[in-house]
Amino acid sequence: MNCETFEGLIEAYLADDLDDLRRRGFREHLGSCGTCRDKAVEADCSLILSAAPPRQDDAQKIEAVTQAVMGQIRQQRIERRLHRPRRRWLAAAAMVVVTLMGVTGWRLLSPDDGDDTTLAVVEAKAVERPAPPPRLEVDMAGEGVRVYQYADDDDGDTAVYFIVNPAMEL
Amino acid sequence: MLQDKLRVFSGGASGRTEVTMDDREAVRAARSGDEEAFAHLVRRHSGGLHRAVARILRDDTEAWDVVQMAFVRAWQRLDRYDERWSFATWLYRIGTNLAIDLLRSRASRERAHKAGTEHRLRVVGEPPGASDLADHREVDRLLDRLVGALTPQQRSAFVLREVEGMDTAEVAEVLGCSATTVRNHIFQARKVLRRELAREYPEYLPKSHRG
Repeated sequence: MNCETFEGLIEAYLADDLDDLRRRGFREHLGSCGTCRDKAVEADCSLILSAAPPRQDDAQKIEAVTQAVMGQIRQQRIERRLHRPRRRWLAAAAMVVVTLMGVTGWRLLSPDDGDDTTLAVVEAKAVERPAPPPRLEVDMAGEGVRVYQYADDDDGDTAVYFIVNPAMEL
Repeated sequence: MLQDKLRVFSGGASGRTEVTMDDREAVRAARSGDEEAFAHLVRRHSGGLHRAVARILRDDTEAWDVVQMAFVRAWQRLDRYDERWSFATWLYRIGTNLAIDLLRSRASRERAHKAGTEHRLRVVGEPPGASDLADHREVDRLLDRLVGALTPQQRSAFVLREVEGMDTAEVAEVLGCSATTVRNHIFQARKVLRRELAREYPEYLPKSHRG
């Protein structure tokens, strides 16, 4: 692009009316021709900033970033691989636990089906419930009074005494 | 509008078609687990993405972090990449969004003020004038300082179009907005930059504008 063409395109560039090819040519000329840059800045001083020279790529930095990115990607892949089997194992274990709990619960809540364990527990509780038999019975002759002492085998400190009028005895 | 959004870049003179086709092949290979193909994409595009993000963030180190994050995210979402788009545009979209998010979340006003003070202390002696400015890279520092006055969207649009040389349609794809919105961002950005330039760096203006 020559200087004459450039000058004629300044307004069109500012209005964003240039096609891609002419736009690139305009920018190249703006960066390389000091005289035309003065003319462009005369038209719009912000065009001085459009002439900023391209920064040079830092090859070392680019390689460092590439290695860092690929390292991060590999790390994520490894983490995903490590997590997958554990999740499966956990899911399987959870399923086993839920199944066991379901079966146990169902068996405990079922009323019949001849479950020996359930019956044994119920019978044992039924045996424990009746009050212990009287340990001591004193018939105080002449007094018309009988004294009963009730005590539990497991609890020697507990004793209950009843004084009963034999006439009232059931 | 849809046609515009899904445009396949075909700038024959610049050889862009060939590059984007290679990118697509690399993406296909990467999708099927070829890590080296993805590394090839990282090597090819990280420099350009860094340049754009560093201009938007005005921080070189943070920009490298964003580049790294953008590529990792691109890898994670590779199955979402639509081959009708340019891979570079898709990647720039991820990177620019990350940069804009970062920009919004950080308080950079104090840093910008400090940088401006340092810059003003350097500019002494005879004003260089626009014709000399681009030659000794002062414009690079000037740009770095002045884009701080723009909103994240204006800044991204201006950097991508006016500094990185993308066309308006590409910038619209990257920013996820219409071409009209991009033009509006550029228009507003120029307005702010003219004002800031006149206020802070009148020595760089043409003599007729200095008053």
